[in-house]
Amino acid sequence: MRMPVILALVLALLAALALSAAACSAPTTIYFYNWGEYIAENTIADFEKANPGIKVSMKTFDSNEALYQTLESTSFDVIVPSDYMVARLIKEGKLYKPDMAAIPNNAKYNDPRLKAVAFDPDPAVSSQMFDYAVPYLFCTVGLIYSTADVPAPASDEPADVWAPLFDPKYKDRIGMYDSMRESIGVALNVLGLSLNTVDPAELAKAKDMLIAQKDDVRPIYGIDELKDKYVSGELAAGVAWAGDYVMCLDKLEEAGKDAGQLGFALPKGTNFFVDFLAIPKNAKHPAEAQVFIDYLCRPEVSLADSEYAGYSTPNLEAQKSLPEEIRSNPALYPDDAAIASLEVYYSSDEIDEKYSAIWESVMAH
Amino acid sequence: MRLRWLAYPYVLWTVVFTVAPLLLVAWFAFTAVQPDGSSAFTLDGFRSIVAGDRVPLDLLGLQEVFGLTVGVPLYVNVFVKSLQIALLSTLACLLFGYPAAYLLARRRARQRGGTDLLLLLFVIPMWMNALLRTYAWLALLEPNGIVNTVLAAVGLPKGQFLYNDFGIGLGMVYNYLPFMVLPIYSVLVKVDRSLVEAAEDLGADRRRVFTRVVLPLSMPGVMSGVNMVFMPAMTTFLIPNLLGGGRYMLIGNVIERQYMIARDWTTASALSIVLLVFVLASMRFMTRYEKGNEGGGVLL
Amino acid sequence: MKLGRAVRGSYLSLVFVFLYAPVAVLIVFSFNAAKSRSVWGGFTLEWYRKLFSNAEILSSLRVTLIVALLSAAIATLVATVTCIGLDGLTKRRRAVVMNLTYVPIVNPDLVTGISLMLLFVFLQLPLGFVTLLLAHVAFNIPYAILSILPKMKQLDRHLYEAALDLGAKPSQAIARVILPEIMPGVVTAMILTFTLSIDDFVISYFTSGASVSNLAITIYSMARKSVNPQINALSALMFLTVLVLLLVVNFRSNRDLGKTKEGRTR
Repeated sequence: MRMPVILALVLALLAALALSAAACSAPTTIYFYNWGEYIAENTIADFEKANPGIKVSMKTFDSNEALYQTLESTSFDVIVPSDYMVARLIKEGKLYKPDMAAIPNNAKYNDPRLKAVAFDPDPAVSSQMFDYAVPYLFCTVGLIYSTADVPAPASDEPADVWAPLFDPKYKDRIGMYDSMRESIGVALNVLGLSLNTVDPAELAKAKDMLIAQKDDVRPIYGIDELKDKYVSGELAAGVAWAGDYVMCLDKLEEAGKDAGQLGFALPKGTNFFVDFLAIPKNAKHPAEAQVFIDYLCRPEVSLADSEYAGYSTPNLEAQKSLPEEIRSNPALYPDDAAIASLEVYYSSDEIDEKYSAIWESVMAH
Repeated sequence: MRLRWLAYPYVLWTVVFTVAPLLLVAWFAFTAVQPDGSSAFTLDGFRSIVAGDRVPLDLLGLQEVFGLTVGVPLYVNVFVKSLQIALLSTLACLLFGYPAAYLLARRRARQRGGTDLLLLLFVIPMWMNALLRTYAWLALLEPNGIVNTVLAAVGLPKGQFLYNDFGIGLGMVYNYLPFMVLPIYSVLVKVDRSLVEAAEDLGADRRRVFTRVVLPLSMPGVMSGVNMVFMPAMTTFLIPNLLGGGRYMLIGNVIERQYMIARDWTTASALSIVLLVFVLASMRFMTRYEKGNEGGGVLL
Repeated sequence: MKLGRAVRGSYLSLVFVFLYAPVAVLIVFSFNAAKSRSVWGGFTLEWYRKLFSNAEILSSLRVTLIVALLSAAIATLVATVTCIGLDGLTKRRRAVVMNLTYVPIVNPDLVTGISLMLLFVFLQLPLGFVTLLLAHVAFNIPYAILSILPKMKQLDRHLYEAALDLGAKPSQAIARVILPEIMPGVVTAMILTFTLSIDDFVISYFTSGASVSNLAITIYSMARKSVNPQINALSALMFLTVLVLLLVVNFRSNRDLGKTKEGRTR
C-alpha cells in the first residue's frame, strides 16, 4: 500500500509547484542575457522594487560568439553585446530599434565621445550604432601580471608588454582568454598587425605563435575562472580586460592581501571595446526592456555596476563619483589620444569564420 | 489481447524522438549551408577530420621518450588521445575495482540476508551529481589546493596534478569506478559457493580456485563493467572541462565546441557520427563475449 | 590469515577514503568563513544563508523538480500504456520496437543530447522549458519501459480475457486486473526516471537553451566562474539528502530500492 502514499506525495508536490508558479507569474518577466559577474548584486532587486510590474530573469554568457549563437534559438529582452557584435546584429537586422525618448538617461549622461568612434568599417553601420544600442560599460585589453614574479614591461610596445605570455619560464602559470578575438588579438598585436586582419599569411603567423605558446608555455584557458587564479598567485601573468584587473584588486582586498601584488599594462594598438545594452528583434517585452535599460543608465546605478564589475562607466555623472586613482588610470579611462591609438574589433562573416577556425584548431592542439 | 493499438503512440514517439534526431545528425554531417541559405551535399565535414593541420601523434607523452614523431591530422590525434585516456581509465577502474567488488561480494556471502551497509556506502556518492563530485577534486588538486598545501607543509615539492592526463584520468576513475564495481559485484555475489567448495575439495589451492573458477565466472560482469566505463570515458566533455584548465581537449570537447561555439555543424556532426560508430562497434565487439549475462545495463 | 584480513580491510578502507575524501572536503569547506579552497578562516553558516537567498539556484531547483516530476510521470504513463500494448504485437514487430527502445540507452549522452538539439532546431522549437521537458521524457521512456516490461511478462494473459468474459469493459479490465499486477514495476519506473532526470547534465545542457537552466547547468556555470563556497554548501545539502533518503528507504523496506538504480552511462 505504498503506492497511494507516493502518488499523493507527488500530486501534493505538483500542486504546490503549480501554485507557487502561478503566484509569481503576475508581473511581466523580462529576460536579461548578460556577461558573468557584470552587474552589481543589488541592481536587479532594486529595479524590481522600483518597478513592481517587471521582474528580471538574468542568464549569463561568456563570449560574444556564444551570445550570437544563443540568440538564434532563444528570445531575450535585453542583451549585452560588444560593439562589433552590435554592428553585426544591426547588419543582419537582428536588433529592435528602441525609442530613445523612452531612455532619456542615455543622452543625458553617457559620454558623447563614444559616438565618434568608428565601430565598423562601413560608416553607414557605424553611424547607426547609437540608434540601436546604449553603451553599458567599456574597457581595454592588456596584460595582468603578478608584480612579484614578472618585471614591469620596459615600454608600451606590444612585444615588450606581451613577452611574459610567451616565456617558457612561466610554464603552467599563464592565463589566456578562451575567446578567439582576445587571444588571436594578442598574437596579432605582438606581430604588429591589425586586430582585424583577414590576410591568410598574417593569420597563419598568429596561429603558429599561439600553437607554439600552447606547447611551450601551456597556458590555462578560461574566462571568469582566471580571476581567482591571479588573486591566489597560481597564475603569474595573462591577457585580461582592464575590468577584470580591477575586480582582481577588489578580491585581493577582500582576501586581506596587498593590492600591489597585481599590475596591469596597456600595450599600444591593443583593443578598446564598449559593451552595449540592446534589444533583440525577437524580444517579447521591448517596452519593459527600455524601462530597464533606462534604469541601468542612472548615474548611481551605473556607478554601482561599474564598481562591482570593475569595468569603466561611460556615464559622465557617475565618473565624477569614482575614486581618484581609478578615474585617473589611463588604462581604465583613456583620454582622446589614447582612444585614438587603440583599435576596435570589426565583425564580418569572413573574420568570424577564419578566426574561429584558427581558434578551434589551436584549442584542439 | 486486442490492446496492441496502445503501443502505436509510442512507436510514433520513437520515430520522432529517436530515429529522426539520429538521421538529422547524419543529414547535417553530409550537408553544409550555402551562402544563399540553402543546403547542399558535401563531404567537407569528413574531409576536415582527416585534412586538418598535421600534428605529432600524442602517445601520452611517450612519444617524447622514444623520440617518435608520427604526423597525423589534428582531429585524429584528439581521437587517439581520447581513446588512450579512456582505455587507461577503464583499465585503472578494473584494477582497482575488481578487488573491491570481490571483497564486497565476500562480505556479502558471509553475511547472508539484509542489506550490506558497506555496499550502500559505496553507492551513495554515485547518487550525488557528477558535476559536484568532479568539482570537489579541484579543491584537492589545484596548484594551491589542499594536497599541495599538505605536501608543502611536510617539505615535499608541489606537484602539478590538474590540467593534465593524471588529473583527467583521476576524474574519470573517480566518476566511473562504481560502474565497474557494481556489475562485477552482482555477478560475483551470484557465483555458486558449491562450485568454489568443489574446486577446493578437488585440491585446488586458492589461487587456482580464483583463476580457474571465480575469475572466468565473473567475466560477464567484467565485460559489462568495461563497457559501462569505456563509453562515458570516451565521450565525456564534462570532466576535461572542469579539470582540464581549458587546455585539455578530448573528442567530446571538440564536438561540444564545434556545436556550441564555432557553430560548424557539418564538422561537428561528422565527428559525432565517427564517434558514435566507433563506440557502438566497440560495444558490439565486447558484448560478443558477454553471453549468459542477461541483457546488461543492470548495475546492482 | 590475520595479515590477509588486515590487507583486505585496509584496501576497502582506502577505496572508501578515495570515494569520500572529496565529499568530505566539500562539506568541511562549506563551513569555512574564508572564501579560499585551501585556507581555513573560521566557522560560518553564511554560505548556507546565501544559498537560500540565491534566486538563480532556487529557480533552477524548481525547474529541476518540475521537469523531474513531469518527465517521470509522463514517461511512466507512456511506458505503462506501451507495455500493455506491446504484448499484443507480433514477435517481429515487438523486436523492432524493443530495438528502438534500446537505442537511447546505448547511445552516448553526448550524441543523444546533440541529436535532440538538432531535432528541436529543425522543428524550429525555441530551446527552453518545453524542449528540456521533451528531452527528459525522451530519455526516460526507455528506462520506464524496461522497468515495467518484466512485470508485464509475468502477468497471466488469460486474466485480462477472463475479466472481459465476466463482463468487464476493457478499461475496467486494465484498471482492475492489469494495473495492480504491474504496479511494482510502475513504481520502480517512477523512481528510476525521477532520479535519472534529476541527475542529468549532458542532455539538459544541449536542449535547454539559455533561458532555462536546471540545477546541474547552474552548478556547471557557477563552477566555471570564480570560487563560490555556495557550491560547497549545496553539495553538502545534496549529499545529506541522498544519504538520508537512501538510509530511510533502506531501513524502511525489505526491498532495496537502491538496487533499482540502473546505470545510465553518461
